[in-house]
Amino acid sequence: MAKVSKAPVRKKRPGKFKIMFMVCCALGVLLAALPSVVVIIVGMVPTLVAYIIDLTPGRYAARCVFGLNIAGTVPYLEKLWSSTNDMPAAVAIVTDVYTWLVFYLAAGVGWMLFLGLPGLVTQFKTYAAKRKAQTLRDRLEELRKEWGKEVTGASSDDEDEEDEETKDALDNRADEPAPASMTPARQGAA
Amino acid sequence: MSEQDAELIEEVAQPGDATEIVLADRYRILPDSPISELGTPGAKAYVARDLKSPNEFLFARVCEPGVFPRVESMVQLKKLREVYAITPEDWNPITWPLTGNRCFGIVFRRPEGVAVMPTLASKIQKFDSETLVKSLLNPALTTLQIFERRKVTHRAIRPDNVFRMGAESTVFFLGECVSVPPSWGQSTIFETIESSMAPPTGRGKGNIADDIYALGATMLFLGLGFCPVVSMNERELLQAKIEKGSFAALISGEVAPPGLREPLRGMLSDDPLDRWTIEDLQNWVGGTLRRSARPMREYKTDRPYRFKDREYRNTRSIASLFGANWKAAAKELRSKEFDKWLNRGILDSSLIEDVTETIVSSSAGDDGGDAKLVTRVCALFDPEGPLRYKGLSVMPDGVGYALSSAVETGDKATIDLITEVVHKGIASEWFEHKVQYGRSDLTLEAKTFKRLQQFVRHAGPGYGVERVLYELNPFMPCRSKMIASSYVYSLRDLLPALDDIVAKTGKLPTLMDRHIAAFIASRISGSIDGQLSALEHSSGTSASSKIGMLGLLAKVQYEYQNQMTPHMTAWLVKELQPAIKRYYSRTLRSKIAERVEQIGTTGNLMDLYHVLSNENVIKRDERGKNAAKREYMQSQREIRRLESSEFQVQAKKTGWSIAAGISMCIGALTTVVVFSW
Repeated sequence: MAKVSKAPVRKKRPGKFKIMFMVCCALGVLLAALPSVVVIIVGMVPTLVAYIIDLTPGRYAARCVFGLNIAGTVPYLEKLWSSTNDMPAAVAIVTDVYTWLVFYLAAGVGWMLFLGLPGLVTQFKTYAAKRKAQTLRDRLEELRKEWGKEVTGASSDDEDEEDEETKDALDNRADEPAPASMTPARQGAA
Repeated sequence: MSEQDAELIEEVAQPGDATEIVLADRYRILPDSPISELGTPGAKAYVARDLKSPNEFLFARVCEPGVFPRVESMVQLKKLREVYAITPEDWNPITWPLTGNRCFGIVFRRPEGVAVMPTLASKIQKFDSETLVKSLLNPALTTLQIFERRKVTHRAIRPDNVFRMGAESTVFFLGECVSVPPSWGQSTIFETIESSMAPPTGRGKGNIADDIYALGATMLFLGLGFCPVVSMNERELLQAKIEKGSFAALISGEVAPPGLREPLRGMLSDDPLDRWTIEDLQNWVGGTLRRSARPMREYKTDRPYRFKDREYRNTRSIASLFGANWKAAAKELRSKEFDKWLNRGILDSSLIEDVTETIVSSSAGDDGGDAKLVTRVCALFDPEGPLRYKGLSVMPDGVGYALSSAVETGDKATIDLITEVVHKGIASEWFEHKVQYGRSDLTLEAKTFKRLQQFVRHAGPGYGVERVLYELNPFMPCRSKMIASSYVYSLRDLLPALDDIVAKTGKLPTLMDRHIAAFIASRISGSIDGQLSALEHSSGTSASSKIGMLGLLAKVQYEYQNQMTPHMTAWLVKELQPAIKRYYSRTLRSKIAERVEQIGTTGNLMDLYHVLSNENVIKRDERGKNAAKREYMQSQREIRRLESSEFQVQAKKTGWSIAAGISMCIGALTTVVVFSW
């Protein structure tokens, strides 16, 4: 059997050269697509804000805002890319007041979704749960009526309804062996 | 025909009055006409008539309460005409108007002649040898031969129970022997030494050798014309028999009838192996020589043994003495004096060895060990003698009669002793010891007592000493206080008797009765272990014990299917209401209650038992209850979950997830639409 090396596996850290390479690539892309980056950065500011202020586990607020915020930004990106796709065009877009209105309106719808929908869902689920609990309670009552209080796990001492004879019978049943069967010919009728 | 008889015939022809007793729908017994000369201790005799043939002369023996007749022998002897003995015509329990009790009545043909010797104290014209042989010995041998073939013993042969066939007839026949237990009321004069050592209730049915002994004594006294030992008390007579031998003791110096000395000596031999058999006597009557002489068992000691200021020269006497004084005997047996006497006073070296080994191997100090030691030594000293244990003395087949007598008289000490004898295996060990010493005829008894030991080990109803009582006495009536007065000796009569009680009083005093359970257990065919086990594992008043008892009664009804018990079933339906509550399911309860109410009117115990103890239904109910319990707990958990704050948080999270999902979908969709437009 081959010996398993116990030496910890060293995680290869990206080397300085690699980091430098990646930064250079990013800067390259930034410089190459600077107009689009300007539009995206300006258009996605609500998402950034939402991400910063969101305290919910899973950052649902940011997710809600992001989806609709992107929906509001994408048309202007398409406009940029279908025009000259240079800085003046990008500046023209981000300085247009209607563009800002669209960005923030879309993000606002995202906030409304985040704030309004969970309440509705909770209301609906609570109502459904109440109905289910009621159905279960009815079933518990049925079981109690059919099988007695013992079915609830209460001891026989708590059974006020049961008379002494019933208690006696229940106590005795535990030690009673299975009765020997009689000849079935006559007993079949029973 | 006398005038009195003619009057009786006329009386029979007339319609019966209130005190008329009719047995088996055929025989009319007249309580106002007792026949003192045909009575016996324990069973008085009355005139009886056959309604089908009124001219026939009959008499009936009516057993006193507590006297149980030999029904097993009656079955063998019913209307047996080829024997020279009074045999039963019919029998049945009857309600006796003089006492108002149920008792057993047996009808016999009335002898035309009288008893050859009215009482033992009477003096009569002595019979010569020829007459005795022709009139008594020959018919008696024929009779005993048939008895032996049918495994019946007479055990009541004595001069006042031997009758002439007709008023002037020269043929004698034996009186009846079935209306009282064997040897009941029989003087020890006619009993062998070993039988005399046991009380009358513990002598058992014996064997044909005991009858030959009694016949020998009867012939001797008829030959002498009187009984020379009638005035001796039992103890003196027994001592004389042990010391001198039965023949010498009974003849008491008189001259034996000429020509009969040899057979009488043989018939009265104290060694059962040496005693003449029927074949020997027939050979003697036929003129051929009897068998060659057999070695006699020697009981005499070489030196006297001194105990409690008296000297004893016979091991049988010593055994009898030890049996009666067992505590002192146990001390004595372990003393040096006894050891010295044993080695010097007894010539039989194997007996010395056996007794010494028994003493050495016994455990000293406790009562059980002492009692066992005395029992074993007594069996060695007197191999033919009765079982002796802590003062109890019974013949091998007399345990059942002794127990029945003790139960009847409420003799708790004897009941306890017999229980102990069976429970501790003393009886089975004693029988095995006898079998080892050549009594192969006792093998069955040894096995029987092993089986009985198992019964006594269980404490529940259907077992115990009650079971032993009914196992050893197959025709013993059920001694339950409820039905004791009804004389229920057959299982067939049990349910009607119980139903009658309920019909009269509206209920049974108690459903659970140890005597009834044991009576059923010993009489019923087929296994009832399940029902007995149910009874054993439940307390007396619990529903399960009542169900167990109902199971036993249902088994009886299954055996006698035409016996419906409407009153008892209706009462049982009320009594067993708690049993219905044993079921957990309310729906099932109401269904069973409805079904039970229906059965209550039919009188069918089998159906009632089946409904109340159906194994499948019980299991289904049990499973249903467990499933309901699980469901109840799960539902409770679910309700708690639905109403918890965690559920609200979870719902909110779900809302956020949905909102995020919708938002992302819109974003993705918009992107796709914008760029693909």
